[in-house]
Amino acid sequence: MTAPPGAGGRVHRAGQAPDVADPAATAAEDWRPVASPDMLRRRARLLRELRAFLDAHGLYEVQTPLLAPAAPTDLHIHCIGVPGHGWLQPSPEFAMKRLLAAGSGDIYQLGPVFRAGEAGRRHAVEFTMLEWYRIGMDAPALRGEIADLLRHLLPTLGPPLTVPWRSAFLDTLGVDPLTASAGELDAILRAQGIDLHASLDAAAALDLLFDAVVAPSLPRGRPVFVTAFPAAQAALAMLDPEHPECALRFELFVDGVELANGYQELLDADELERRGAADRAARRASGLPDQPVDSRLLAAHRHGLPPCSGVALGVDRLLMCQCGLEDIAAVQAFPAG
Amino acid sequence: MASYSTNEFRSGLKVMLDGDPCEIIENEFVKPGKGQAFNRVRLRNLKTSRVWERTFKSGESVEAADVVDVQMQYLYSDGESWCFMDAASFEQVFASSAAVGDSGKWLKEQDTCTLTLWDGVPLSVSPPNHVVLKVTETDPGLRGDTATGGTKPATVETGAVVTRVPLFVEEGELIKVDTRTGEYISRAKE
Repeated sequence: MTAPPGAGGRVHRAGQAPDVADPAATAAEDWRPVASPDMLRRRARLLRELRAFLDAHGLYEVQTPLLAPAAPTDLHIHCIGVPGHGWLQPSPEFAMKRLLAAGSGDIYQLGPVFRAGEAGRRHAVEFTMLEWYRIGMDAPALRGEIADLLRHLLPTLGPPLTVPWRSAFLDTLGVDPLTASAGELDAILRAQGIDLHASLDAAAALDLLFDAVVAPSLPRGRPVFVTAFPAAQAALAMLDPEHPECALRFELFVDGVELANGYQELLDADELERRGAADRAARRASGLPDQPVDSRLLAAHRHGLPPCSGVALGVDRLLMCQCGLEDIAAVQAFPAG
Repeated sequence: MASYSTNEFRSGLKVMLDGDPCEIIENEFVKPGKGQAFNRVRLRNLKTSRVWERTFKSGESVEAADVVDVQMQYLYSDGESWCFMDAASFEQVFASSAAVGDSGKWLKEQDTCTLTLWDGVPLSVSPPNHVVLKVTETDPGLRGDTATGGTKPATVETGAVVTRVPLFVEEGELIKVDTRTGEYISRAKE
């Protein structure tokens, strides 16, 4: 059934997204930035202060390609491919580790990173990451440095708190994330009022519970480091030699929002290769496109990465935190979409 | 039937959920650091008007709902069903009292309304934002009483009662009413 001509009604046809106004007219109107001039200045000040802090601590800034021939094998990080050029990088980690292996010393990088399919109040496909590496520091020492940075940038926060990942689940939900079955987790989700469209395996259920319930329940008003992620979620962190079921990986939360992800870095090339192969097998099993392991990263590990710890911090979210804002679009000049 | 994947979810999208046509009213993207992404979605069931919440794994998909909003002319009602006509095609549809709901008290013959149709069946009817209706019953106003802020109720030709009209409004006069709030806006000529 069609709308009568000239009736001025909007017709939504099945299979179409809701009405879009004339694209040319829309583009002409939406030339303006979203972030206000005041926000742009606050953002500039944050960038200056981040650089000043790290420069004062003896690190120096590097610039590595945004566009590179390899990408992480991680199942849940979707990289934007650029035909003929490789991928836009979701993090400068691989290039920075090659610099570290070549004797760069302590370095940082501050710039855009790209993750396809991530769009929401706290996610943007293109966002700004600050990533830095400290040779000879273990994870607790790096957390100390991060806490120092936050004291400087978010001076009203209380002292930092450390909560092991497993304890966070036990304390908030009374469930042991290492032993709970998919069925038990499903029951917990339902009890939390979370209605699933289709059932989840245990790993996915833990991810959802962590984001929807555990993280928001973490103490507010102070930096909270969630530590000791399980080996299955180690990414490129080394395993704890004393507790190999745990990885030396941590995440920083402020008021329920994840601001940073850090590791005591994996050094063993064989383990790196093994994890890459496991990721590829899991990708195949899930019907995801194949992602070869970065051979140059592997070669750098074989040459020898100095023992170090590193952290990746979301600059947009840090700015949101400083300004008391909930939407990432408010802190970007021209947010996508 | 077409389907939508979670990355196409946005407000206003019409989808089928548990056999009912629903409209997405909010779509929240959720993703822990290096984990699985989810969409936490709030939907309005277009049949029952109830609001649901549903969490989807990123990449899941739902069937599109054949839901269309069309402008149609109100013709008449026998109290149980309400007849509307597409002015271009002359096709008629009958809407149930459930679909018409509260709008029924503002409908005047020939008024153009927005109908939400699912597979051609009216789910809901929205009257025009403003309607002009004749006052059929109201207490007489005091002569010259245009200045006081007092109000009185007035019944209009559809049987609806506008609770607050100015005291100077008389029976037989036309008034403009905001159908969204049920409030008097002004006198009208036609």
